[in-house]
Amino acid sequence: MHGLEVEYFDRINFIYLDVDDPANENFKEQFGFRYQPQMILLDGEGQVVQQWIGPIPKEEFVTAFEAILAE
Amino acid sequence: MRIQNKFFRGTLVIGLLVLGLLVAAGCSSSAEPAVTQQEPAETEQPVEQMVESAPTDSPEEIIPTATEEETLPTLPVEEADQSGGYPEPGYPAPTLDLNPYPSPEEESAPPPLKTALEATDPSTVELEAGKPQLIEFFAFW
Repeated sequence: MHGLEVEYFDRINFIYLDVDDPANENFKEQFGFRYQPQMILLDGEGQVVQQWIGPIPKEEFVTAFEAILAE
Repeated sequence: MRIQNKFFRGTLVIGLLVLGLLVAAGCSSSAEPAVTQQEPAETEQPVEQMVESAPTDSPEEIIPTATEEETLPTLPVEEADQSGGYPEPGYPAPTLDLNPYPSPEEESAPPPLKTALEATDPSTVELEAGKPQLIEFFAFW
């Protein structure tokens, strides 16, 4: 994920779900998966804060990470 | 005759003096070996006492045993500390650090660099983790 995991590993959990894994069907339904890559940012309570679909520049993730960590 | 008597007396006096010096020198040189000869005699005396006081009959059994070595005088630890030679006053006492390296609970290590994309085990996913999470749906194709 743009090398962001190395920088934010201690403050943000990074979860990678294989869309072809049948065990992830419940997550696909829960978050309204359409096509990959799809990224979903959750807060500490599991609520969706922001979603991205398709290739996204690193700076956009950094802005969202800093915003949620500042709360 | 008087001249001969004086000469004879002079040589006699000189001879006595030389003889006295030789005797004195001989006594001083023979006194030192006498001291060195007395020392071995003193050191051998305890061995003779050991042999006499030993309860065994054969001299081969006089070899010191473990019980004799245990009874050797040792310096007590308290007396060694009170000697004042070590440690120096005012010098900080060395401390033993039993945990020089931080434990994993204290400082989390960064994740190993991933050369390829690895899928997370779905059974380990907990949405309410208490801290932000980024979920990425991906495919290997």
